[in-house]
Amino acid sequence: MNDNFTDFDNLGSQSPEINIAGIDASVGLNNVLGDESLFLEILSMFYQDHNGDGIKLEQAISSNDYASLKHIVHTLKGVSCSVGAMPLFEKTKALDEAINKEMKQDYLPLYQALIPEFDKVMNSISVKIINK
Amino acid sequence: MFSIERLALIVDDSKTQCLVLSKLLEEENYTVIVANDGASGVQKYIKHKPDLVLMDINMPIMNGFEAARQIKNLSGTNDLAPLIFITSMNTDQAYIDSVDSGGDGILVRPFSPAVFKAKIKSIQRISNLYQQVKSLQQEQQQDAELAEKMMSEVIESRNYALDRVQVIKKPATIFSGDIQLTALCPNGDIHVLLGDFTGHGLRSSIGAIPVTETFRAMTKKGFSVIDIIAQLNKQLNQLLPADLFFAAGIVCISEHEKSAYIFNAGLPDGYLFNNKGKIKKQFESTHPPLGILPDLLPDAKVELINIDLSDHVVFISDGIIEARNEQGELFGVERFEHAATEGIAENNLVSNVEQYLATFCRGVPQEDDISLVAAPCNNWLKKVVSNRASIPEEIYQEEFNDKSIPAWSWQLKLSGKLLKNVNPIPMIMNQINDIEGAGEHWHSLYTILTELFVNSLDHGVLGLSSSLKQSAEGFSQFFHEKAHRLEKLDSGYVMISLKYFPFTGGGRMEINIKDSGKGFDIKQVMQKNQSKSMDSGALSGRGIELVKQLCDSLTFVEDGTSVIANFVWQINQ
Repeated sequence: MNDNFTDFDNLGSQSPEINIAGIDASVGLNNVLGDESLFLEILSMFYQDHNGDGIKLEQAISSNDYASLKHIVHTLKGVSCSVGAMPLFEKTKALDEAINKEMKQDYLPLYQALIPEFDKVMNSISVKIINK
Repeated sequence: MFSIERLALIVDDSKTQCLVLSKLLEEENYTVIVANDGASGVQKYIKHKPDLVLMDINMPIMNGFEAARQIKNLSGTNDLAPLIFITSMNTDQAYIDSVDSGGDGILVRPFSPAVFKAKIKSIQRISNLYQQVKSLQQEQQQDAELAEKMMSEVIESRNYALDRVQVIKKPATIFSGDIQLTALCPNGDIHVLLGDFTGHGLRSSIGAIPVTETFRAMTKKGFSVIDIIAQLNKQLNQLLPADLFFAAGIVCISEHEKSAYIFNAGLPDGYLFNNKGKIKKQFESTHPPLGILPDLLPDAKVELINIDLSDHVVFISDGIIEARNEQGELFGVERFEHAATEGIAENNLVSNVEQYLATFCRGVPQEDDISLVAAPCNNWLKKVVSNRASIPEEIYQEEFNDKSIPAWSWQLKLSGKLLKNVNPIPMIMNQINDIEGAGEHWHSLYTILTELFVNSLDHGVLGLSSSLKQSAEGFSQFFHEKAHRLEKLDSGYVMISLKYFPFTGGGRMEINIKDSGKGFDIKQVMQKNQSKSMDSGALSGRGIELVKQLCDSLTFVEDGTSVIANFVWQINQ
């Protein structure tokens, strides 16, 4: 599936200004057909809508609220893919798959593996875009 | 096609995703509307009727599958908005569920804009094709409906006495292969026809127009049932493809003679019901359907029956008795007869038969055209007494006198066997219409000519006694005897001469009919007729009384072998 992105590698190299940790700007930009201002808008929307997801995930796991957990993970997976946060996409995908297979013992370790990547992306957006 | 702006609906609870997808769709010339849960997605679909729907699966309030199901139910068959699921659920079940819920495609994240574009393009191509087919189908439907409307206009709306002849007409498709026709004969008899072309639909209805034209034109000119049937058969044999033919029942109801002439070529049995709904007689098919053979069978003949004026003649098409219910059972003759008997007794034949059929079939789609025609046997005779006209005195003095030369004259002498095969009256009427143009007043002339010709033939040439015609039963006997004598006829003649004298606003026709018979005692017969006409039950002699009423003068000469009648017509009569 990720092969789709190889054709568009050169696009990213044309936009070195957007440099967010954990985000492949070439992928994210390509997803909005190279529209930089839209990409920035999307990144800040991503931050606003999903910055609280880390805490929500922790609460859902600790309270065994699997319906919420599933919904948050699923949405975060899709959006991180759209903005080009590929390592975060891979980690949410792993947690999503565990949830689909109801491998509950894996939820916490996979969450713990996900959260540093999540924080990295959100912090970087915060510094580079929100508080710029 | 792609330069037209289209409307897309994105249903996704993530605003970020909506924004990304909007960008891609706008690039493809779409205007985008957004809903953030399944339920409001359905609402926006109803409100905006988009050309394309992109649907997330996991959403609050109503998930994507349920929303898709509701949208697809709404779409019906009239419009197809392709619906694509966009998801990061890369599982077999997601694919299966998306198809089951009515989705036309699925796109799994991550995908590139190029893949997205390709997906939209492919789905739009199918939807365009579907729309094209749909609009072609609609156009065709509209054309067909228009054509059918015009055809009914030509066929049914020109029927005679639509208010008195009861009809069931339920085509299986837009076009009906069944037709019901009624027309008035010049002498006040009525012709009723029910016909059923093989199959149903447009293909089966193409023969209806020529049949209608022939039936009307020939009836109007005074041709008999057998003449019309023979002509229809010949015409359809030449016109229709080999696998298409025409089952038809035709009846001529003569209130004047208290009899009916019936011919059934390939229809189910026709019926004569009395006013209590009792079946008095059935008329089975005696001839193959019309259009199969180049000519009628040599022994083809109409059935003559006596009628009471309260009787009804009923024809049906096989669509009624072959209508099926859910179990595949046929409605059948027995059920029809029961429904008809009950219906006639209760004076609601049509609605009763329809109701029985509907109850039996319970919405099972109709396989063939269903039709029925029921004609009452009474109240067809027109009051003719007031039609009589004389030449006004002033015109008589100014424009002509006994020495006037006719504007035209016409003569025909039929001898021997020709008297059996040729009916001269339609020929004469044709001549008159050709020379003088058509007109209502010629109807009376038709009656006069028919009565006088038949009189000369029956009582003159064939020497039949009118005493036979005293009763309804004798009337049939009279006709059988007539047929018998005609068969053997090889001598004798009838000569018809016409002279026409027009005047301003009208005209006088002098008719002379001479036969080779022995003649009769004029004085005695005329007196007898006069006394008989007071008694309305008597059947014989009424013809001559009718002629007397229609004519300015009627004189028998040469010992009753020759009759001279003067018919006068005038505008504003």
